[in-house]
Amino acid sequence: MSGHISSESLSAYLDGETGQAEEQRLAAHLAACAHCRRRLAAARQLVGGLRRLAQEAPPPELATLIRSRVAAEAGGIAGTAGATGQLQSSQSSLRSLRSLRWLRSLRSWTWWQGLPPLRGSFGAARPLVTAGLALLVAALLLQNGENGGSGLASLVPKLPHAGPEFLVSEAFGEAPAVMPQTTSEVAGRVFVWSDDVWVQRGVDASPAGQPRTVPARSAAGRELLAKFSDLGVLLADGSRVVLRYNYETVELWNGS
Amino acid sequence: MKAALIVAGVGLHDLDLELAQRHSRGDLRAFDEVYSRYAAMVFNLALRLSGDGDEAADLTQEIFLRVFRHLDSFSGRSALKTWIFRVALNHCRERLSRFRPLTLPIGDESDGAGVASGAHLADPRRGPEELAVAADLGRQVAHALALLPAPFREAVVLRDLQGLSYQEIAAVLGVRVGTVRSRIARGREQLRHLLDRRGALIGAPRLETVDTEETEET
Repeated sequence: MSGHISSESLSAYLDGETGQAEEQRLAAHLAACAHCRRRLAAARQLVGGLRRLAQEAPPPELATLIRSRVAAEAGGIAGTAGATGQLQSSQSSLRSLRSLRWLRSLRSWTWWQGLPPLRGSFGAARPLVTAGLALLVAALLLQNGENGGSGLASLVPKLPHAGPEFLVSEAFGEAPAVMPQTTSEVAGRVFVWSDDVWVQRGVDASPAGQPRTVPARSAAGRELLAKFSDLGVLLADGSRVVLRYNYETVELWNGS
Repeated sequence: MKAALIVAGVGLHDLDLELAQRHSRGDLRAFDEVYSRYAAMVFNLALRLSGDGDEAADLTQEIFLRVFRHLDSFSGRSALKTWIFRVALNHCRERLSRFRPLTLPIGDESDGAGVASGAHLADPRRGPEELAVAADLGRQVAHALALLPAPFREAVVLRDLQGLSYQEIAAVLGVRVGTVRSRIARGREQLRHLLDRRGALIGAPRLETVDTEETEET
């Protein structure tokens, strides 16, 4: 074999997922090549680090919550009809878990109410969510009055007072299909998608990389979001910048 | 010996099928059994794909509701575990591709989110300094994992955290084994790159990209 072992073969070798012939070939190369042995050791160390990531236990209230919803769907009553100890817990923790969910819904709604849904399925649930949230807001406002004005603010302390300003950047140049090259400027800082991560670019960034900034709630903003919903989207509320990319939201910068 | 293993394999699937049949007859204990068997597996998958503990709890709840609704359609062609992984993964993909205001702080100050699970790497026999290093390393690995593009993260999580074989991952993802192999390799490579950049795994040789003349098999 000339050259070194490919990363893919090395990775499969580590997992014992090569065919017998390939395994023998790779083993022979590894025996003779210190460079590939080092690479194998590095890959093994990384996999070891991943495997040591703890398996977390699901929150105990979750079992109760799921059991109660399942029982409701089945037309039964939660906690009866042969429910086992595995799925039993107190009703009070169920209520507190539910109120937390409501609070999170409120937070999401307040942030994103002006945006068009990215998926059609959300549209169907919107009237229900809105009705529920209206009730919750009414309850919170009531509490707000009783507590001398601190209720809502103390419950959701991190909400910006005004609606967030969204700065949406379009991909520029030739965008590869999988990893679009994207540059975004948020609150005077320029971020560049480079090597699979977002990095902040220095102030001397070339003017060619300057993105077009569009208010998110304008027609142009909606159009951009609809068009580039699968690209990274930077969101800022003045002191905090987050990036939506693919499956995750990553906080890039927190100036507060 | 081989024959015995095959029989044992069929037996396992039969048990899965029996569970589904009990469920379709309205036996709620069948679902309880499914939950207790797979709750941790589903929760951890959701946790590593979403990078957020609260989100993972929500996802787990929704996934098991889906399982409850569709368990009677489980036909036993695959293992129940594979079937549940597939339901869970599809649900995570669907839900997590929507816009959410949840954040995953890059900094190391967030212990509460369930992402930063490095503390669980702790071994009581080790000294405080070593424990701190292990905790920090775990956090960095979890953070780096959350930054991987979804297809690579899915493959790496299913392989290295859930311990599935390439064949099983291919069945869950609905792709060829060659694709699984390539995604795992690329995912690991990117992880190494991210960790190197953060200075994690100090002292470890870098997983270099080298010119290879070997033909990649798929």
